[in-house]
Amino acid sequence: MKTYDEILERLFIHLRPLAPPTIEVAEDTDLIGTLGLDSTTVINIVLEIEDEFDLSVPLNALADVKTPGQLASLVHRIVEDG
Amino acid sequence: MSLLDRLGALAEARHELLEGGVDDPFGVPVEKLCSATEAVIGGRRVVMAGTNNYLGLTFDPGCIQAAHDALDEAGTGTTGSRMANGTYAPHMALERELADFYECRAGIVFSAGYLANLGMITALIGPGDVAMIDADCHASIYDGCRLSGADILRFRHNDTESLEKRLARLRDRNSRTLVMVEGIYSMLGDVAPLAEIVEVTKRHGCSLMVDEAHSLGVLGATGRGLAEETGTASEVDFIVGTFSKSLGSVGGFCVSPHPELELVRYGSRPFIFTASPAPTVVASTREALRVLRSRPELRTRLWENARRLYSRLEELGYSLGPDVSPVVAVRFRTPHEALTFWHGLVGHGVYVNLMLPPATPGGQSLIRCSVSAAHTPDQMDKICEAFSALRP
Repeated sequence: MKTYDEILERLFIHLRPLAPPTIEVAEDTDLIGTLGLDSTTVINIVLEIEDEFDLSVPLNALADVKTPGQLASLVHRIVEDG
Repeated sequence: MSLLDRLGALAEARHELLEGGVDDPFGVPVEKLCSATEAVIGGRRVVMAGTNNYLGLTFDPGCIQAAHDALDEAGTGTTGSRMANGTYAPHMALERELADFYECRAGIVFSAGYLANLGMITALIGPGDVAMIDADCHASIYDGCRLSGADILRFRHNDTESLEKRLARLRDRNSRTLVMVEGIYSMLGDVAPLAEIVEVTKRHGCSLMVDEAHSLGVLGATGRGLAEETGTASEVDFIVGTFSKSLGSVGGFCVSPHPELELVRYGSRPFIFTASPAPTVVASTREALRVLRSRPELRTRLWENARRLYSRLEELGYSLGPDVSPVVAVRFRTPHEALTFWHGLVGHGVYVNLMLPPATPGGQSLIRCSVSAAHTPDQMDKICEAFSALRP
């Protein structure tokens, strides 16, 4: 079972290469406003996470996700629900 | 933040793209249509190589005559929805003709291709169900899924293994899952591995919908699309398509071997709350369907032109979509590079489509050409020469 921190760390690995050089990606970084990602990039990262953790994240659930922390929480909830 | 501030982000993106004073490539007014493949833009005659007019039927004399006759007989519009006063005998005739063409039990016509996807998806699935879509599906499929309230899951584009994995995770929700793919994908012109998708979908007990918008009139022994081409038509639950490409008008449809399709008329809001297609549209579409069925040589010519453009651009070293098809997409490194190239093509008398992120898969910047059966050898020469002259 993956912990919240492990999921967040994996997210950072996907997000860091996409962030502007001057931005440090943190739990509460705004994915779109600060990192400048578009919604398509975010949902493509979700595809990667789904395959890594062997789970499915409904696109609908992403509407409220603004930060890596919120995405990690969502994925963690799905892991726990089995 | 006010409601109008939202539009500020669009203004900013537009400003960034057009930096350096280049003209806006979106919404370019076509001043005059000369034929299915020629128009006047910016005061000059150009070859239209980005119209999705695959069979060139927009100027077919029979289709034009049928529309003229319908205008005289039934007027300019229906002024009503199908459920109220907008079902005319020709709407029902078109539905029967589509069902007959596809050898299906039922057919239903929508007022736009976009509405066909919205209308079918929202009628078939709802909260608690699952929409399983190819990641590169058209916006109308995404929007239909959102409107349905079903859980939306995506699998990697054209990746059967990715689909398999996700269906396996659903376990007991499979019977309430609608898998959705396209025949030919509109951005890169690539073709779905439909036989494999059918096999996986059916093994997991799910339903399958195939959008043949870009493959109707293009693929298959009789032009029905990819399901026909791959011999899987009898296993596809719903085929959706549009009139606005090979059939040269506007509108959408769905056909199905399930007679329950008829019930969609009573439960699909995008079907119910829209004015029905105008008599002219129905008349020209019916004639276009007759032409599609009776003139297979149009498909032959279309493919000759598609193969010719694809191989010439490949020879010139352009980075293209993976499959040869009438949609020929050229990849560029940046939106600005694609925009500059697009202007170059217009300067050489060739009009194509500029496709930029986020509308494109993988955030790619594309020049999308679509060839037509109506392109003459001289016009094909002109398109190829323009790409040759502009080669980076």
